[in-house]
Amino acid sequence: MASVKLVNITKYYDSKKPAVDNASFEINDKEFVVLVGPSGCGKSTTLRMIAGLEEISSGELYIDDRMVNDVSPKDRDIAMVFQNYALYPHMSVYENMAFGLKLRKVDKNEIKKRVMDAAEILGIVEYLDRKPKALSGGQRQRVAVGRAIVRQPKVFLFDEPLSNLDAKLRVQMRTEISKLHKRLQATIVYVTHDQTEAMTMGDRIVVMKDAIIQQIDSPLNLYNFPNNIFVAGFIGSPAMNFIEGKITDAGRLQFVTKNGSVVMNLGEPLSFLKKAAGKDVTLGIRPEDILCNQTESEILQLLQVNLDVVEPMGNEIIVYTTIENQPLIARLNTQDLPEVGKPYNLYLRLNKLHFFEKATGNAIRG
Amino acid sequence: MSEKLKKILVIVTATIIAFMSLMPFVWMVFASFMKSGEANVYPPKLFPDEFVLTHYITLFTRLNLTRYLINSIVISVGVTFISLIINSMSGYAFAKMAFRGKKQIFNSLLSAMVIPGQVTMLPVFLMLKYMGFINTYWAIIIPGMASIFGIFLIKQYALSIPDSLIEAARIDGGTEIQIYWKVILPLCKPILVTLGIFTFMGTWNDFLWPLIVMTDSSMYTLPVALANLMGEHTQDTELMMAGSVITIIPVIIVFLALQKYYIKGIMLGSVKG
Repeated sequence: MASVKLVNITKYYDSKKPAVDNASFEINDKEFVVLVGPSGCGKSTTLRMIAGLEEISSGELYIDDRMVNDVSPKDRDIAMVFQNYALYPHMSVYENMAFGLKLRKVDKNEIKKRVMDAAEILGIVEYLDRKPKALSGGQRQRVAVGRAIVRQPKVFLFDEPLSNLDAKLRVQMRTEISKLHKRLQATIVYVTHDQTEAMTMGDRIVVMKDAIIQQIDSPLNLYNFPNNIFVAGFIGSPAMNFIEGKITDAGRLQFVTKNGSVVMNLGEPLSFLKKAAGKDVTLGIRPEDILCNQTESEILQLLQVNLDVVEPMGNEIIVYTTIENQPLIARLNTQDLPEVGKPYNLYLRLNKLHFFEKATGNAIRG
Repeated sequence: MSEKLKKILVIVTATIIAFMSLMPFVWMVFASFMKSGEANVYPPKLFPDEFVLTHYITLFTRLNLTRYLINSIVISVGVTFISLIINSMSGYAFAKMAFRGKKQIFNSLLSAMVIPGQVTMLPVFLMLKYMGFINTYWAIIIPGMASIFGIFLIKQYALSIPDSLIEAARIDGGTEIQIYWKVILPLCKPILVTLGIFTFMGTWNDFLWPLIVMTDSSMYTLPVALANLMGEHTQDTELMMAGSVITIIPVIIVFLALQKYYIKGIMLGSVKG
């Protein structure tokens, strides 16, 4: 197993706008790193450059401290699992998995052993003689993973492997791939546009947008300390609420919404916001950090609202409202169904508030 | 009721058309077994009074048909295989590989398709003559080694093969030749069979070009030999029919053997192309 290092990697398809702009990060041995971002953000291109399927316009790529910019895909010792599985339709499952080994002239008995091992791990032993078209989507994806496993590569690359599966199967395969990672002790680079997949699977997550890396961190750090407004809105579901306003420091440090309809007193833990006094900011609060009663010992900010929509989920109730025309969603841990259209008290957890500069979108921290 | 009537009408019409197109072939087969002169009597007969093999024996002994048969087989099989390889390689390249001037080259190939074959006959003949290929198999095989139509057909088909398959093979360790041979060719099988049948039948039945480049009678292909027969033995209808039967049998065998893939190829092409 091995590490992967990207140094100022840039990719231009045409000369105008880069598809990947100056990406630098390192994937450690045995690490599961997820590249996540909206479509067109450059995550797949980054993965394809690691695979050697796309040329690197500038920058350096190292696998195990060997620079591989000009090394062809077959000599990089990587294996890739594609979104559409990319199984060879004219070969049986066994032949599909053995193909890479045959091309590398691995001994026949060794091939058989490795394929059987992989098939056992993935539970596809009984399908070895079938052609891909006789398999279901989940089984095909397993074969694709198996084809990667038998090669025993230094690095596994996954390009949105679960997005062609239905929701239930996706959840199941997600845990299976995580288990597989632990079992194989493999270095994995995984691309997805689904933040849930990224959060649940990755040791670390690389969030990309518009060809630029926004933040690289562990799932919980991304969730708790997003670097900017994009990461804050992208990670978490339902997404973080944003309210635009201003920080004022006329005797008391306060957040005032744009039209002044809500004024929040910012207490001691938020005193670092003094440096942003007078500036336009965006306040962020996650739906799960909004409460419906005042029982806890935390510092809370009361917010009186009229609810537009109430969605009882059983374990929780999701309510929708607006503050100065900006949507606000809250996940309430209660069994008392609030009434639509009537005034309702919500409480924001002050120590869970996020603040972002309006001009740059960057987080303001202490 | 009207549905049933429609069905009956369709079946009857189809039967009549099938009968009309098959009749000449049936008569050809029967006439080839008739005694000399029997095919020209009035009123015409369908069945011979007595089945005789005289004409077939004459063809293979006195008229040297074996030689023409071998010529035809060597040329047709040669052209079919070589052209399949070259057409599939270039069709695949045009479909899936990135190289400078790809679009321009392909467009100029397509526009060359409007030039009628007769126009190029003389220049090609002269070129082959200077190369010394007249009266050799190469005179027919070389011009048939690649066809724009074949390249186009394969290119359209290869476009439907997902890029990720080729990329997977590349990561799996395949060289470009291995990818072509072990992944692309097997996937193109239906269209290769279709094109193979087209090419085989076209080459087998071709009359004009072999007539031009084969001046030595021992190098004649079956259609040319058959036409020659007609000149020498105008009255001998039964002999002519026997020669025709020999000529079409290989084509029918090839077609029947590959029919299954052929239909698949046509349908796949129409849906995906």
